[in-house]
Amino acid sequence: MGKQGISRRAFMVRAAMGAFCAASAPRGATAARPGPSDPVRIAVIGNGGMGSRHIEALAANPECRITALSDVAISRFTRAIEIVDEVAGYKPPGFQDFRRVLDRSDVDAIFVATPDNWHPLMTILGCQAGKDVYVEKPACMTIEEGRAMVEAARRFGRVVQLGTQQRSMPVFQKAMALIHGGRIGRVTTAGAWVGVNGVGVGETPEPVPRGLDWDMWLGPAPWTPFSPQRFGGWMGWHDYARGGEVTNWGVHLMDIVHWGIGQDAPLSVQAIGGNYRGSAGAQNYEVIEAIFEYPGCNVTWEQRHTNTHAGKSYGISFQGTEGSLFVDRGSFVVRPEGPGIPEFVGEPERSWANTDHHNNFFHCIRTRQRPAADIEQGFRSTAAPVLAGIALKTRRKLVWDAANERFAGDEEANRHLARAYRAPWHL
Amino acid sequence: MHYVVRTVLTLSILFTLAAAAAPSDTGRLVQQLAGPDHAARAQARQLLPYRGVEAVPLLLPLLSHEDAEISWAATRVLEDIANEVSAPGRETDRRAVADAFMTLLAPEQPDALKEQGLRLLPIVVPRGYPLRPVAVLLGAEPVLREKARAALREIGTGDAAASLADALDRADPAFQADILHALARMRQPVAQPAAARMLRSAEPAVRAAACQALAWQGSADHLPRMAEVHAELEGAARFESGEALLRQLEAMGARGGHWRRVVRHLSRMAADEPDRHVRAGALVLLGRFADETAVPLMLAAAAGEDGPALEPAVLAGFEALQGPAAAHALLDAYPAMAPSMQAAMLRMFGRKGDARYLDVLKAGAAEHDPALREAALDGLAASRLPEAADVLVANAEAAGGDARAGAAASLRELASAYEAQGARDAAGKAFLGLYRLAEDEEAKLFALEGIKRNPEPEAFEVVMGALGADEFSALPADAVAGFARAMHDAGDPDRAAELVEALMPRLNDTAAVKGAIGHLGSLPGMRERLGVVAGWHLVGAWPWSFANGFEAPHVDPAAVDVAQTYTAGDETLAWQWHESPSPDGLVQLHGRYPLIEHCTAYAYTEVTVPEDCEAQVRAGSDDGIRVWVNGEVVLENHVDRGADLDQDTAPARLRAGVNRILVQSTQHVGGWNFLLRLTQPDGAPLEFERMTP
Repeated sequence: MGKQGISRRAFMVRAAMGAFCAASAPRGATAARPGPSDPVRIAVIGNGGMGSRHIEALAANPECRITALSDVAISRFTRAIEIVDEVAGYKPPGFQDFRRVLDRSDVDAIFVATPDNWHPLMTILGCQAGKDVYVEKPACMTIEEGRAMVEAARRFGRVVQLGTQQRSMPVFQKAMALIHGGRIGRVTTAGAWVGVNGVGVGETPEPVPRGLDWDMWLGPAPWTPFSPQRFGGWMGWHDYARGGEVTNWGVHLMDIVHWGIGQDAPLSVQAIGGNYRGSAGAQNYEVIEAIFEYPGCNVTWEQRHTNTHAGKSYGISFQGTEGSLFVDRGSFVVRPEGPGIPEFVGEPERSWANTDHHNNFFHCIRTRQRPAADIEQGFRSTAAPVLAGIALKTRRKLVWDAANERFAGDEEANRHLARAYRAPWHL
Repeated sequence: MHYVVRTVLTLSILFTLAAAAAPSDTGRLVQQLAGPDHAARAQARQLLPYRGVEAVPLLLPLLSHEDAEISWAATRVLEDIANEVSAPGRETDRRAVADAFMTLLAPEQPDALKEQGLRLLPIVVPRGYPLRPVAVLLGAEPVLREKARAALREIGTGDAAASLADALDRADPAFQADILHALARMRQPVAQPAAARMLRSAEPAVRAAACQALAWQGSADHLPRMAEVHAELEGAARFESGEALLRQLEAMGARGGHWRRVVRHLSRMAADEPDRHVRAGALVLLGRFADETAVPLMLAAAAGEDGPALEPAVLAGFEALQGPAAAHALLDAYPAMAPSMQAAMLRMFGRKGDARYLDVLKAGAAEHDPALREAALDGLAASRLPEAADVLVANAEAAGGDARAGAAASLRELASAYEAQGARDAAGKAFLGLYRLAEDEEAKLFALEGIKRNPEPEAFEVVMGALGADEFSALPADAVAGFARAMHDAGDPDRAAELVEALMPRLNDTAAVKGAIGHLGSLPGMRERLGVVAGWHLVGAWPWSFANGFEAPHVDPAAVDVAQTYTAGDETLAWQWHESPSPDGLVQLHGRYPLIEHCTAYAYTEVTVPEDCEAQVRAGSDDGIRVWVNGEVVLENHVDRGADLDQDTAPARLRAGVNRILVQSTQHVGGWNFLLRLTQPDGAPLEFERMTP
């Protein structure tokens, strides 16, 4: 079994014998709905990367108070506590096991900013525990998970917002208003593009660092020895992120495509891609071209080494019967120019953690209305990139039956719509 | 064991066949994949999947390669091949690949290879394929049995579910629960009897997991025992069985035929369930499936000891309640609710979009309590009810400070929503309100565009009555033109004409004229009022070279005679009258003559003015253009371009009486056309009489 063998077996035995119900056992109290002027009490789960950006923004936001932090790495939640202290002057408690956060009655809502692998289950467990949930994108890695997230949100009456913060950014709202107002006619094609995945090569298994709960980091994913490459570069692995950029930036950008064209379910998808620079063993591809067919509209996704449409390294373009519109987080441009606003330059993006999007979530927690990026919509914006990833893997054109959330006439492709959760975790 | 022997034999045959029949470059590509050159490896990674089944036996040994990158690369290629052969219609290849992968599970294989096999097999195993080698591993030590369980769950077929179900009796309780959780997601009826047996397990966690495995089907037969199990359990297992019971009732409710049972169970859980989370779920589902009779029970839950925690679930349940009786029950209950609940209810009433809630929403909008007032206004906006427009517009216009911006944003959304649902009168009012609130040009234009698109007579009254002369003169010319057109189309030509008259003095720049032409150009007489010259005698085409530019004209500019003919090679060219059908007077020359590239043609017309005056020639052309007025060149632009309105301008003096205008249009390649307007020197419309055929 090698140097990891003992701990691996020890875990499995422990899991098998003692942790039956670990995956579905909310034991804490459901929190009361915050009043109009009460700060929403939140916990942030996942304190590295995007999580740390959320923490910085949330600590400074009077609409909320961080009452708990959680990360599988003690060093990360320790640093997060320091950040909250520096920004807001108080120290929330930190936990290595996120379930301890769900147990707490002083947590109204959780922010999930972990690797993608955990998004669905933490969201579902949060809903079951009576918490509202802000979950980073992508919502899910599989279609089955996305649907289960929506069902959990609805079954327990929770507010669940996806971290597709562009829904709350004025530049996109204005651009979408122009499109929906008919400024470029009927949109018949749309395209989104971004740079490549940073796919790593090679892996060196190492002992699990002190203070890191590697088994919890893996969660529902298959067990594998610790390696710093997985821990730090998880986006290259299929077990933790199905697609890399296509399910990372792809969700943000396809979300805007859906918003613009007023559709959220493709009729078909096909894709090609590869790692042509040498990362032959990588699961997620560097370069990808995907084509989606929507009713009355073709949509493309481009992921390239140097990608500068209109001088932009990423963005979304819409082509209509009477004009075109390009938009990214900084600006939008309408062609041909005419009455109205041909060009709009918005506020520069200060952080990926968007306070307007946070506040929309908090408002909805208080009023119990659906948020700007409700999980159903967020799931569908995630689904399109996920389907592209399946088309990449199955290497064929797939016809999507959106009503049943199945591929038509391709049962083998349908196997990619779900993944097995490692016991004891389950949906 | 028999099966494993068979698959080993199959693989041996495959190896032999591959060695004998495979093109030699498949072997070279496999060597490349295992070689040190990363670029060559990437190339092999790309090409090998196209080799299909023949590459499989050559790749399998690489799975245990000591260099993880090479092992992964081989795995990736095998995944690609497995996916390719799993496409419909490739059953023979698919079975061969499945056979090859199955050899990885042979007892003598190391665990690491077995694990690789368990990751690959779910891609390719066809329906009806013997799964016994996988099922055998369900009895292995914990690491491997978990991988086997995961593989069968991902295979997902009835056969796979049956294999898992068969293993239940032999598994220890912990693994039984894991298997049942897999079966819950696989949703295969074949496993239901075995899962039902597990409801009798002595182990609470297994009984709870069995509830999960059965719930998806919503079979009424299982409900009594599941309810018993739930009543027996405590703690975490109780939550799991309760959650399963919610799923079961949800599925039964969706299937229909058991409405009373579903509501009875849900009501009991909503009232008595000790697990607060399960109780919350029951309250939500009660709203989805019950009727107005559930309202008192739900209110009691919100008012009880756990009320604050259950309130979100109660509200979600109320929101899901349907029908007029439920609406009346909620309205009856509303006055007695606490203010915080009332505020949430007002927003919820609005989201229901039901006119029955309109009165309470309007009353809420007049409340002194700012939280209630804000909630009522939010509710009115969310309702999208046309009857809410007046209240919302009045509120928005009365708002000050920060509230004004919020009201404007809300009104903007509402106006668009009204428009989308075809409530044009309400949309017109909302857009007008938005116009009054607008603090920047973009918002004003947005509002004006909306008013133009919603030209109900009442909206005209509002527009005309509300916009004073000063305000009107500040409107963009394009917007005025749009109003005029909308009024004309709505059957109000008199006021349309009134607007046009107000507009005419302002049409002195190209953007304004372009907008006016866009909206009004197709109306009789309008393009003439905008100075468009649309009627021309045309003659052409002569060969012409872009390199030579403008040379001596083929037509004498000082003595044009439309009865004259010309010779170009063997062709005799004669003048022909042409009236442009385009609102902007575009004269289309492409396709009119046999020559379509490297050629030129002429257009001639006459205009009459009452007295001598200074004027301006405004022309656009594709490609070059030269214009003579009364025999004198006033404009010349040798250019290769597409045409647009007013690309070139040049002064010209017109004489009292008839003025002769000759145009030479040159064609390099591509499109070929021109358009021309005559205006006053400042660009304002010029009145003149045109030539007729």
